[in-house]
Amino acid sequence: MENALGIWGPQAIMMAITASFTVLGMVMLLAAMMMKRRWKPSYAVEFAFIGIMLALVWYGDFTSTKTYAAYQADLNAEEKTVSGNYDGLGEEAFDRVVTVVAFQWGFGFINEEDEISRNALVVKPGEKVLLKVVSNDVIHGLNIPVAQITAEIDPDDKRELWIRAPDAPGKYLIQCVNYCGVGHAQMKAWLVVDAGEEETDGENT
Amino acid sequence: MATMEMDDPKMGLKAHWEPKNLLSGLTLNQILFSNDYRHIALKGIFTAFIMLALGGTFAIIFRTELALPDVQFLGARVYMTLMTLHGMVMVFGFLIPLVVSISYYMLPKILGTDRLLWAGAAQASYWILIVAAVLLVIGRPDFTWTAYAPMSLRTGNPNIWMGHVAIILVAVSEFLAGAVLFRNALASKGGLKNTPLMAWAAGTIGLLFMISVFPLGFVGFGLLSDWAQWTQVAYFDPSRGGSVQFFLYVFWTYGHPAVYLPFVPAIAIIYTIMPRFLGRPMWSYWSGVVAFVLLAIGAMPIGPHHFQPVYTVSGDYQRFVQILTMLVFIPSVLHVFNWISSLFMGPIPDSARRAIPFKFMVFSIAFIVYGGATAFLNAQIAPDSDFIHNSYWIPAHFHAMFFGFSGQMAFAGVYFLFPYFTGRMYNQTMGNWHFWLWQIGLFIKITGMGIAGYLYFPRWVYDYLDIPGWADAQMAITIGGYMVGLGFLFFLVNLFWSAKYGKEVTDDPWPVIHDLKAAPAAAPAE
Amino acid sequence: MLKFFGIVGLAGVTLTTYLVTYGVGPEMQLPPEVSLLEGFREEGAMPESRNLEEDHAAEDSGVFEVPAEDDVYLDAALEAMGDMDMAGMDMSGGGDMSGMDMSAADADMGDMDMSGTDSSAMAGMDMSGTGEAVLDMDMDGDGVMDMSSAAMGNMDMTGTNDTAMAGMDMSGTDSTDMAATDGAAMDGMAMSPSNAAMMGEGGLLITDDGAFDREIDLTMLEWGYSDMEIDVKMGERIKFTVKNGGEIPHEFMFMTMPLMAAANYRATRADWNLLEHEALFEQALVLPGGEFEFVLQVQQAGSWMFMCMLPYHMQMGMMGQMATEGMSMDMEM
Repeated sequence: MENALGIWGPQAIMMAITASFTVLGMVMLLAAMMMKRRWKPSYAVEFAFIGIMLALVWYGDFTSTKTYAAYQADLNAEEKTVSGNYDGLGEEAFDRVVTVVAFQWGFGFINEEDEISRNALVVKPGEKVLLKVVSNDVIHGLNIPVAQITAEIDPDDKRELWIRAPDAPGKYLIQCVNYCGVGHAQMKAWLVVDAGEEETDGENT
Repeated sequence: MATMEMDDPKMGLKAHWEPKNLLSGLTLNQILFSNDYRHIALKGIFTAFIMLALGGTFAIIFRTELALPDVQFLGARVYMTLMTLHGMVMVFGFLIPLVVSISYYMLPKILGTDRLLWAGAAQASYWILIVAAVLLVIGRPDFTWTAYAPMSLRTGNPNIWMGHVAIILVAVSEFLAGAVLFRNALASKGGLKNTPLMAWAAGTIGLLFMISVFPLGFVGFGLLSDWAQWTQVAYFDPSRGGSVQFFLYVFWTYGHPAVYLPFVPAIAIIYTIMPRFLGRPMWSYWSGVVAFVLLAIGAMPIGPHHFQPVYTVSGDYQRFVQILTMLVFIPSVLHVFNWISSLFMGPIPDSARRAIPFKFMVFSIAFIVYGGATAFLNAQIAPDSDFIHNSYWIPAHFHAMFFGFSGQMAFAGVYFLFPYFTGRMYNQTMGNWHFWLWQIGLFIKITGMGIAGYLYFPRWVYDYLDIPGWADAQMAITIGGYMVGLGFLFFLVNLFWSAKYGKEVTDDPWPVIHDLKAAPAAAPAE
Repeated sequence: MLKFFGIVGLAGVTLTTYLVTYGVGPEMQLPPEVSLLEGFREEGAMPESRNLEEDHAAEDSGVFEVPAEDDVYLDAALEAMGDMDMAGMDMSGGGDMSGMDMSAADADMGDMDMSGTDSSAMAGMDMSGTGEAVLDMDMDGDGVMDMSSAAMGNMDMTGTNDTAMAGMDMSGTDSTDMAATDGAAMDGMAMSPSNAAMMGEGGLLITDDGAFDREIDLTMLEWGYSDMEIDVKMGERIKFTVKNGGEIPHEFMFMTMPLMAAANYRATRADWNLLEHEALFEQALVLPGGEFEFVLQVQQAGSWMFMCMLPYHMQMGMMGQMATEGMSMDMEM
């Protein structure tokens, strides 16, 4: 399932690289403790290792920036926080625009007809949904696990995010991930992927 | 490359270390106010243990609540109070004071000065922290240890201002501690090239302490001012004209260097005791120096990675932070490479393998690899904006670093010092129980948190949904936590019992014996 | 030295742990000085109007379920109430509240016979969740749409001739009040007030407008209402204008005590916002500065709670009581 950030691909590689270096470090430590043969590395080895680390830093920056820049391509120009020259389509690129109000403690979703829904964001399968998020009071978080996106909603300004709705109809979790008061643990909402208003003639959905 | 000998001044083992009972026969006045560096250090160390017991008790309580979904016995407000104090007590009360106190103990010995300069400042630093602790207990803030505005202005706790004042006091206390470390590092004789690595650490981190606490003090003041409404236009409260982003930048300008405050002194402990146990110098001196300097410099500008998913300054700045954050790995890699190479380059004596401090040290290195390598992902915008930010992945990372590495290294330091301040050896069996319970417990709990984070488990919740994997992860974390608690109890029993009944030590408690079977009589006491 | 720290440590840990657990007050929150939404409206990030209509796609989607466990608590609450006639509900068992189980086990959800007379009487009622509002309710099987208050006031939903079951919200302001244990079937029961749902539910008949005897202005604030105790008389018609005078969005609902008890057990659980809580009337999400009105007719003696059930709002004080004479009850959380 394609997700908003589309990071699964490069992220999988990053996870693998990270895991490998974790294991490598442990193995080297184990070897130093257990191996019979002793060995004193030269400075060259350390420099080589640093060289590999720098290459990884470059690679990590490259993939992360590329992914995030692609994600931000169609967002409002002010929103772009990762460098890159790109001109997106703006709101036209999205199938649906929703204003999200994060408050103590819940989410209000305002659709294009200015109707508000409490704790349920209804979308169609596969839609690209632009979310314009504002906070009523304090810093809130916005995390939609199925869309693999997390953002912090800072009361100073509105925030634009977008997600691609899953293809499978059903309900998916939206949760706040910044402590915002006693109701934080309950500040959850549903992302509802509704297959549509087909007539079902008395059948239950 | 230049080789170091054991009597090289850079090795820093100069002053006489003699096992002696420093704990008995003290008057109350001496216990509380003696300016002898060892008394100051021990006071700090034991107070830190009380803080660990406190923060740990809080953890056991909320861990019990979280082990199962649904609310069992903790309400939202009590939970957050426990969680806030857990964080503050552990970081400000346990970890930083413990490593600083161990530095106060070891630096004078290593530099051969046998006294702590500016001991009065060290005293003041201690007592100001005690006042802050008392304020926290009376005020009982429930706004998380990071006290984000504007939430931390409005939690409805009428004594919330005590939390704000405590933050200011912590800043003052840490400033003084940093000044003491810096001043004593400068006391190294023989110039920069002959300065032991622990002094390099103390000097760089002392400077970092002093610079970085100003934003913290300002944050405490700003929160207090906004809460009390001293100004027409608030500093941080957006509903009164303030700026939340201003808060975030200022707080994390302290907050990021803050994580190095326990990290660097713990690294310094490794550079000090590893050569002792191995009976040979470190693989490289200059690599350590460069790493300490680079870390102190690199620590300052990367605060924003803590709030990366907030709309911040646009353009290249966000990417700059990402790159710099990843680059700050390099000093840590230099240190780890140095340690592993030092271990690799010669045989490891049996006496070292057996010694509890050495064991803790080796596993601390394992945890720094675990927490540090996985943090490569934290630095990048894309994964951070996916599952990392504010999920349990973050506590996994900082428990690995703060506890798995710094905390354990501090205990390695305490075990190392034990014969020197009690004149006796600790009990090996209890030490092993402590050791294994911690390695297994910490590993289980950190891995549990990491998995929970990968599954998008949110932070700061007292109850959670019935999502596959969440309950199992929480149960694992709780079990790991209980094991860590039990391990600490073993330590406490060991501390009290061995101080009184442990085998007396009069000679070097840490002789380097390569083959214990060949010379068992020379082995350190059981 | 060790002994000193040992004693201080033990005492300190014990005392502090006690203070941090038992010595912590109840949940509380201070609202912001002013809602930030106003600023966002100026910027154009929020719609101008403070009174936003409710989004029907969301309310019709049936996504908020009522857990089966609620019934257990509802039954227990009803039993505890004994024979006391609450809000016109027959609580003694003649009217079978637990018979409100709409699960497939007890009622055929496809064509639910709500009148006990003839399934055809329900022809217009869409219980299947296809989303169509029910407009022609023939409740007594005579083939004529019964929208008169007389018919509605005596609506027998159980087939046993007892008076109306509270808990079944026919007023339609909240789409999911009929959410059954299997979650789906009742979704289509949305009847918007503008379609003049005139069945008195739980003894209250609530409509969009109509004739009224007096007016009450109620303001929602943090954390309470401008009027926490409202005295009403049987048969009175009151026009309520409810305004959000606070800085945080709120909701407004009427419930009876048993309905509250039915959901109270989970009021601090993480899934609170994700599930439905049945109410007699509900207006969801009123933004700060917004207001709404309705006309309420008190058809039975009784007492009703009005509250906001956003997380912790109720616990912090947003719950009041409206009662006829002598019927007011001790409100417990």
